[in-house]
Amino acid sequence: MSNEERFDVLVIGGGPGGQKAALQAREANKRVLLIEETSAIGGECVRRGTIPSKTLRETACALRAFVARTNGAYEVLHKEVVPLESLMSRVGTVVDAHLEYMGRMLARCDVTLCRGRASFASPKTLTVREQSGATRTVSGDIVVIATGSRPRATKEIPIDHEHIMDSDSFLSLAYLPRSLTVLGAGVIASEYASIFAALGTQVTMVDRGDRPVSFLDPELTSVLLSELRARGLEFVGGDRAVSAAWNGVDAVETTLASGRVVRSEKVLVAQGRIANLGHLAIENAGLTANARGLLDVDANGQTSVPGVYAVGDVVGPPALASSAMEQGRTAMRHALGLPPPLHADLLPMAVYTIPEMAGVGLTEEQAKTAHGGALVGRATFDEIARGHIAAATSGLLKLVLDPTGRILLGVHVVGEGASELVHIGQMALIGRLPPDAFVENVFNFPTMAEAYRVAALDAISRRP
Amino acid sequence: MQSSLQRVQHERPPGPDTVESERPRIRARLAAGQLELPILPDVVAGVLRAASDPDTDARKLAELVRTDAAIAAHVLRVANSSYFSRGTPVVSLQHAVSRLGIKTLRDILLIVTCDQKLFRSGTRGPELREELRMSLATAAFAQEIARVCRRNVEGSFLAGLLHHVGRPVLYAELAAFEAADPHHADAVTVLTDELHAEVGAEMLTLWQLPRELSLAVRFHHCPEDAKDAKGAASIVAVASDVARATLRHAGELEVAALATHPLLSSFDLHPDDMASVLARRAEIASSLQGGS
Repeated sequence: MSNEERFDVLVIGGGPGGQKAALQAREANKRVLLIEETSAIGGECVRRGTIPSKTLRETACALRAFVARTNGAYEVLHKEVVPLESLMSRVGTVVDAHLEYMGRMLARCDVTLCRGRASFASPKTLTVREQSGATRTVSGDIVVIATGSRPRATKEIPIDHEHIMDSDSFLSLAYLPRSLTVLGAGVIASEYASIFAALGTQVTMVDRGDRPVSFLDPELTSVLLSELRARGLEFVGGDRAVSAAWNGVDAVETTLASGRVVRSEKVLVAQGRIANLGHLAIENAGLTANARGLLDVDANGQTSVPGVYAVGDVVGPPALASSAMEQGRTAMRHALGLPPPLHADLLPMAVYTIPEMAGVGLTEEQAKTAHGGALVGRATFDEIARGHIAAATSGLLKLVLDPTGRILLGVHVVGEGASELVHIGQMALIGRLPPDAFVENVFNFPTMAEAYRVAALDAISRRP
Repeated sequence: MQSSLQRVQHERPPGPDTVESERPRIRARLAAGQLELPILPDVVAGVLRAASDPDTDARKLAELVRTDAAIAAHVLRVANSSYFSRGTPVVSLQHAVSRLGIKTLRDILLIVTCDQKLFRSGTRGPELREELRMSLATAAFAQEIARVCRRNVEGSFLAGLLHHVGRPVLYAELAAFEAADPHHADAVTVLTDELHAEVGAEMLTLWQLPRELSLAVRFHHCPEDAKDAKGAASIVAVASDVARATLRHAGELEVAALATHPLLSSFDLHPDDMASVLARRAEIASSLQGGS
């Protein structure tokens, strides 16, 4: 038997978007119930996604940098010897620390937590089925759907999470595969492909497109592809997998549309993600998913049902933790009648490949479309002293300016530290600084940030 | 819910005092690496026949390794010996097959079958066969549960297969004690129930198998004590309960109760998803037929 419990705000999903929505509501002193299906707050970002993969990435980067910076004086690892478990040994510590931090924050802010699987009984009423099997009914004035996403599966490539895996199961591997076929070339596929190539796995990437992460600036992805190939990765573009099957002994055989058969110890299928809407019974809220299986929302994150919002991966791209957080805040502020956050439209993005890629503002193509042209200043990392010191000379920083070369429109970086470097450009955009500011002000020496000065000088020298 | 061990101990009377001398003796031999894992004679015969036949295909050999707990344990033991491993620890059966290759696997199977102690305790033979059948079913369910949870499928299968590997070791070690007096049978059962998890875990550690596997085996009756291997140990415990309910043809109510098993929360499996595993239990249990 269950009695209906009343709250001001119901948040379904404890990932980045849901957390921020809940905390924003608590700032306004609302009674908030956060419903999370799993044992730990944080969503897939913490358990299987961002945190574990970036922890493994750091290990791979550290090993690679050590070898490069010692000029081969030390043999760091032999690819046969290192079990994945030891490389991942810090992951548990990192995840626990993150979970403890989030748990403390939510508790400090007095967010009520409920562990269970929620479904709509009506637009503002949810049924929550707990782990024990018991159910409870809760209602609220505002509902935020932040249930995230899961890897997309296709009928042609059956995923068994043992030989043919997706990004959720891939890091559960107990050993480093000798060979890996990665199906897809988006963010997740490219990140994992680059990490495992750096760790010594023989990687083959297969995708219909002609380059990885094709939505990014082609100059950036050209640097990435060059680096990946230098580590032995084979990129098979303009093709796709039509079948994949375990041979019962020691390999997965992936057949491509071209007829080629790729043999590898494991296969990672990373061909997009789909929203977690299956258990929600959204039809009871008067909602339907669009043709891509996502929820449509307006600029404030509100669905077609007043008072019901959706944030994060359920609404589609950019599907980043950072954008989900901002969407959560924006949606809740709108729901509460508060002004939107400042500069919510100027979100940086980063792809944690090896090397990293990052950007903020307009791309060169977008600037040409919007302004009838663009002046681009470039700095390669081999022009930067720190690039040589750190043995990280493969990289590029682009300043995208208007045709006069006096207004900064965007910054795009590939190379070591790109995800950090981009924030300098982000601040310059927010402060509407001219590119001359990078020349007239002093940077520490030697730093990678000096690339901003070099790129600015390059652009200024070609001003009309 | 009582653990499996607690249920068995409740059902059996306490053993006579002489069993007390066996406990420290077993632990001393365990510490010295002197306990052996016996193999059933007919299993040896079947594996020997397959491994020595050059026409036996690779799939069949790989399948042989997966369907008998003792064979699997010995293959991993030999695979992790300094001669074969060359510094690369093998962490699962699949890992062993892919790293060693079929030719080396065939050699290892021959070594194992020619070199190992045969299980010759007549009174425990039927019990051991049932144990091995249950272990195989537990492995199958652990694998499927891990698949639904998107966790380490290979590791879960192995943990399920080997979770009772300590039992035949103890049956063999206590065979002489049991044969000395018919009244010792209950004491042997109680002692085996008490020590099998510890013995199994220690032997897996000795064979350089992953720590999480050893912990899952050690704590499969009390997963809450398994610390960072709690999820893995819980999967084995739940899989074992499902295997028992399936092979003993439990009633629908008992099976339905498994959908809300109290350990599901340890590995974040929702009752609805567990119900989908239970709905396929006959199919899952039959997927590994061909075992002992």
